Amino acid sequence: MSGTALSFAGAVALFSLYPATLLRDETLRRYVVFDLAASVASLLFFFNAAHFALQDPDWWLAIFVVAKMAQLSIFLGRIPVDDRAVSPRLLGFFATLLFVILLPHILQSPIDGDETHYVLLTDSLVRDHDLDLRNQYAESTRLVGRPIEGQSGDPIGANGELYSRHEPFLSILLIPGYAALGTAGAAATIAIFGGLLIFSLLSLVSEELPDFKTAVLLPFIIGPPVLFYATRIWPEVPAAFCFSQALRHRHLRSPVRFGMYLVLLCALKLRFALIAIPLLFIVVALSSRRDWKRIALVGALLTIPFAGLLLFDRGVFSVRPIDAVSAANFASAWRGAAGLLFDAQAGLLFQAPLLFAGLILACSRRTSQALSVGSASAALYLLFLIPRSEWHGGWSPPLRYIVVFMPLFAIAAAAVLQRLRLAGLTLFALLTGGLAIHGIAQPPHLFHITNGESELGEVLSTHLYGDFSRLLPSLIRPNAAAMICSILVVLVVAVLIAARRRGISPLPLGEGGRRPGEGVMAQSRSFSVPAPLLPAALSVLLVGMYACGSRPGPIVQLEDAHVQHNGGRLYPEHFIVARFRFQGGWTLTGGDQAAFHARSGRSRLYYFADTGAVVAVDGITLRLPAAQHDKWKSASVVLPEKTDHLLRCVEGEVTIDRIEHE
Amino acid sequence: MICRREIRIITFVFRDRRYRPHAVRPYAQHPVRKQRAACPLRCDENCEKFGLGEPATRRRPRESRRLLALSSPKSLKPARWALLALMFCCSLPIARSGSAGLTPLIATIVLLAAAIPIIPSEELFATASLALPLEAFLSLALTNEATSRWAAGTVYALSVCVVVFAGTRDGRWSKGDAILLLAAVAAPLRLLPLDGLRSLPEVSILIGATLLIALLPSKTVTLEQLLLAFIVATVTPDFPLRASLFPAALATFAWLLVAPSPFTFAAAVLVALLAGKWSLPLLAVTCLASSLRNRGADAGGSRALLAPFAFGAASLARVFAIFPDFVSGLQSPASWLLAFVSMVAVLVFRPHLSLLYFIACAFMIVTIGKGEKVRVPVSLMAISFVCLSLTSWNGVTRATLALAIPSRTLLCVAILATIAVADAFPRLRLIAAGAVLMVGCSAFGAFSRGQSEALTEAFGLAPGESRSFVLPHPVAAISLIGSGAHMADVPSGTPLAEVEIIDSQHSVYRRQLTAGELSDWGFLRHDQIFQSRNAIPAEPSGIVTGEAGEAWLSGDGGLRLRAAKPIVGFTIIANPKLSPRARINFRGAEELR
Repeated sequence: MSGTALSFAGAVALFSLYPATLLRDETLRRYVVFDLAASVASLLFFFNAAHFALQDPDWWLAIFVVAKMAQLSIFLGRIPVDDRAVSPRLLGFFATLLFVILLPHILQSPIDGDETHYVLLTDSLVRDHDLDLRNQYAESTRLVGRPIEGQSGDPIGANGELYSRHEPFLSILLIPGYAALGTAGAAATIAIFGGLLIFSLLSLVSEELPDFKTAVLLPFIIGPPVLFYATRIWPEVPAAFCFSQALRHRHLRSPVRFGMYLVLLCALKLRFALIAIPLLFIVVALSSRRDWKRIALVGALLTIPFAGLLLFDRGVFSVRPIDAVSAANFASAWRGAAGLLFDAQAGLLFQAPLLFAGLILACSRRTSQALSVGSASAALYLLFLIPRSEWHGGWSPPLRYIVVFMPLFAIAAAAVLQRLRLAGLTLFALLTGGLAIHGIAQPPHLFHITNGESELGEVLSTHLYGDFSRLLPSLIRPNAAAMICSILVVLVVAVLIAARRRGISPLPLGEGGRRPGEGVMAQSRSFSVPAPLLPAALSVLLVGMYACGSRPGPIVQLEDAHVQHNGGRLYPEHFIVARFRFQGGWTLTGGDQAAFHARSGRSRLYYFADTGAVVAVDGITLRLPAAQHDKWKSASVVLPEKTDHLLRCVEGEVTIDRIEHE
Repeated sequence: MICRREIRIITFVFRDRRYRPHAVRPYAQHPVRKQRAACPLRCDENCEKFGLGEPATRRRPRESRRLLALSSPKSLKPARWALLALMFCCSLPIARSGSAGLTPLIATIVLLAAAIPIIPSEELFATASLALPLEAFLSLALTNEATSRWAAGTVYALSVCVVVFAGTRDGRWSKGDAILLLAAVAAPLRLLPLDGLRSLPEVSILIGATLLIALLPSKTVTLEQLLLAFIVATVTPDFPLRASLFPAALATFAWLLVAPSPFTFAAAVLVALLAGKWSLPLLAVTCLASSLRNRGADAGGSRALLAPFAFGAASLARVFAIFPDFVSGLQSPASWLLAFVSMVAVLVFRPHLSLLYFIACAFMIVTIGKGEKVRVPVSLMAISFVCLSLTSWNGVTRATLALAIPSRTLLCVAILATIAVADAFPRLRLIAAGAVLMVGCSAFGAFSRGQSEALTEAFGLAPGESRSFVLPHPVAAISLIGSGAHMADVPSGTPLAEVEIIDSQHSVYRRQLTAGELSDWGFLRHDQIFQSRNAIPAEPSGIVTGEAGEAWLSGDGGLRLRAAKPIVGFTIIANPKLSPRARINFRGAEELR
């Protein structure tokens, strides 16, 4: 039986059986009836419609899981707030089972990125009882399915030992699972942490927003990005769990637990110390009740080791030694901050839209103390993160570096859900469901080459033969859409902050979140967008993007998906380390062609060619003088009066970055 | 118990003849309210209890009133019309260039236009309207045409669900709303595409479906009746012409059932004579049930007698778990046996009509089941949802829904439904259902088709001809995909060809290829389905030609060939006794993985 079929069978059993523990009486009976109908419909499609509609069972599994999750969420939403049957513990266990069930399907694609190194490290601990990875690298094809070499920046021992630069604590946690079931066991360990994270998030939200139905939040926090990291071997989910638990224990009723979670957080990745140390300081300061001397003393004590670490190795909190913090400047900070917010491939707006909405809403109102404390403790980490060129996480699923902030996002998202009405809720549910379907059905597609395009842009460009990628904001290769989005976000945040100062709430509380007697008080000064405008605005946006995308843009990036390549190769190669640091292009040799849509008229062609090259653009020959490797030059070219153009390399080898209309 | 202050409010309201929200304003400023505690007067609840209008706490604040002008009653409809027109103008160019086609978009627009007077809530209207941009986006983003159409159809079906449930009042619909909804859903399904439209049968079906609702005795319409009317309007075939009288005949039969009189009897007989002999059994059942009701027989007795005569519909009803309280009256072995035999008879002798008879029986039961609690019609909802989600191919739905359900699916449904209608122990039921589904899913893993590799080119055989093939490499199993030509009159089970399979040890296995494994290429076209003696292939390839009402499923079928050892070649010899014009065309052999 294939992994997909196994996951499917598990999902059917889970969604059929587990609700019996969550639902009761009439709700359970109705769920059973709907569940059977949905299962029968799925089986019918599996047996019949799969022949003509979707031949790929991966998509069916993804659609089935998401549809069932939506169905369960609807029934959970009908349960009263004070019904303790739906406890975070039960929901967390449900999440654990779901993540574990998805593993056979997810693990059909080979593990990738840093996952392989964590697995090799775990293998070394289990078999060799050391951290030397030489023999693991030698056997990497057997262990992880492909040959693996050491990463740049890996420490080398005195006797030639090859160590990993990754902290070993996660690998230590993975030992029991790996010893029992190999890579699948290691992934299952992370899935258990995923369930713990869901439990912790729901507990945190229920403590911070006691009148909120936490079950409503479940499908949103179980979805992207947690879904993608809870089924893969990365430290992000355990770290988010530790951070969440630390926030829950911030009142220091149990200082040992609070301290333990902070220590575990730092042990998972040293960069998380940038969260743990400020959090410790803030919590101690809050508990000191304006005892300034004590606060100053604690601050000084915490600053010393932090400064010492920073002085000892400036890159200690960085992801890569080559990516030093000293490269920080305003432009890189803007790219990082804006990219994390709305980059089409790596930003919150496109990868976890509800979390983005929560973040924006959090700017305009004080939701809970935990959110304030958490945000303050996150500031230093973000200050270190956003100037880096690898703010997007590199070769990893999206939102890698901010998954750790899931507790904050969860509270903010709950605040949004409290205020959302049906149309908005439907929209966010559709977006989240669509992202989850895509991620489950095509796990390898979550790893995207950092070339400035996005999965969505590539699909649209390939399907519609237009440059749709330029309409989606990219901060990896900043474009006009990113500038527009930046301005819009700044404006929205400014308006929200101004409204907050005038005491106007951006969204009134929805019926679901209205506290007894709060209706008049909360809605006295508020504004909201009329619901019918939402689909109309989406339609206008869609047709606008379609009209723009169908027309040629001012810049043609030769490596983009809308360019039809007939020969040639990507530059730099696909899996080069830190590819985002290079200016990308497409290398053509004699006879290779590239067809594209572009505006007619005078344009500049950016290229490098070690020995010079001759190209023909729509039959017009152009001789390109030699330009040293990676030293980009430009040449003027006149494109004829048409939109479809053909570029052919006649002689030599040339790497072309872009053709820019003047 | 109402306190004195509340009495003062109520007196004030009645004196003023209309609700004044500011009448309760002082209590909104009650000190207890400022502490965020519940209002001691519970003015919200009382306002609702005494029908005093919208409670003060739900009143729109002053700041939001300007922005929410679109939702005020006066500007509501024009604004919605304007927004709908805007959305249509935006979505049309995308849908025209997208892969989903125009059918779901037009169907959605018609639905939303009908929803404007039906849905009072702006939130629900906006939620239903999200279907338009979503369909447009899906038609752009999904590259596979079939997937795109199916996804757009599913979004349309979801928007229909929202509109239907948004327009309900206490689980019932006014007749006007129900007819409007029915027309909005059925008209696009029946009338698109406009090219080649046979207007007389389609209009006849639409009018008949409207009559189904209009002739109901009560002033309101239940969900079961509405869904059945949807299904009737969707699945009624338009060929031959007399088949299009099915909704009208059903309407008059139901009318006769609830209001028996010489006039209704004459109307029913007249319509039955016009509709043809297929409607006579239904008329007989109706007359019998009607006379039993008139003679004072209890409702259970009439229904128990109705079921076996309705050509086994009770068994199907049991299978689909619609009316457990109805079938619970059929406990005697004799009635079950009769029901089973009649169902088998229908499936064997008139399989094309089984679905129509089933729907007719269900509608009659719903019509006479006034005042009885009928279980949530999940299967009706599921059938409606499937019909609507296949909007882009509703020609296929119309012609082949009954035939397209293979026996193994029916078996799954039967097992699950039997579990579902078990009397008690919901948790035990869940466990049993989960176990059954796990087995089903394991079977899916075994049966699902993987990516295939073509092993031979396409070829055709006349009667008596043969072709031999040597495979490029030995394979464990192959699938031959093909269809017939000029074979629509060949009964299912007739030998079409003999296949000799040669394995790697040169052993020869012989296997007969019969009609039913593959069928005539075009026997499921609307104008041929009732004249053909073919059946849908056991493993249909699922090639659909045409869009919307013009769509039809090809008779292509797959034939699995396996041997003990890897197959290295095969020979096909066409049956020489076939009609001289007949041909068997194969698209080729594929490796099964």
